[in-house]
Amino acid sequence: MTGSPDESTDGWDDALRVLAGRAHMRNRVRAQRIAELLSAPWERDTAVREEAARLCHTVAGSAATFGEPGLAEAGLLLETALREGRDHDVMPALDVLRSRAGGARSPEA
Amino acid sequence: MRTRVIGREARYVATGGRRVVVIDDDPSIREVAALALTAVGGHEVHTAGDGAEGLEVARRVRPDAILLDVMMPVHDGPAVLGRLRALPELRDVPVVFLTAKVGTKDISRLDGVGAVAVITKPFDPLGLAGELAAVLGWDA
Repeated sequence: MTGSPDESTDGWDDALRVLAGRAHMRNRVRAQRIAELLSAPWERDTAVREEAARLCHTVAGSAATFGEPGLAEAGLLLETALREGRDHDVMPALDVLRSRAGGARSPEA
Repeated sequence: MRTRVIGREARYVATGGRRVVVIDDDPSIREVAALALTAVGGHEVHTAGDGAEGLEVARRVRPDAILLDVMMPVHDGPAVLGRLRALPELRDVPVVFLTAKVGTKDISRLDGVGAVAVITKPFDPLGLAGELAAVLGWDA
């Protein structure tokens, strides 16, 4: 990998593509973990709520950095619902997150 | 760029530049930040996955700057920064927060904690080295 972005970017693009693929897989695992946390009674468990929210935050930041704005938005929406106590929004937001995190990564427009 | 993997810590060695420690619990962010800072910035980058490891790495390598995630489990960014400031050998190392939390309340909380600046996620990998240089006053 050379130091100048003005030189050929093929190596750089390839490297980013590999890292983006890894990030997607990690976010998929995080989404599964979030679903596990929220499958048990969670509404009054502060620790579970905080861990789920923190994982959502990580998904949002990672997905946004690696070009998955839809997944990032889903992570942010669920995090916000958990932190703001909008419990009726949590399950629908989780469904969206799992839908966008699942499967092979596809390029977003 | 040479890469040596030492345990969980990856060390990316470039031909020149500064020495930077990246502390983030997301391995993907560590990887892309390290790639960006070495390939574009020409820096030597050390990474750590949590505050405790980050302190250990920073004490050993004596970085020119630390890029520190805010939201981490156990000890968050501000807590880690507090520990850094308590160490004489690291007290003056500039710390830049890296975070996706940039609402007004969040910025208010980060203000005055002692970091030099905040870089928001998502960040453009191609632009990270330049952004870091700009906030730290390094030659880009």
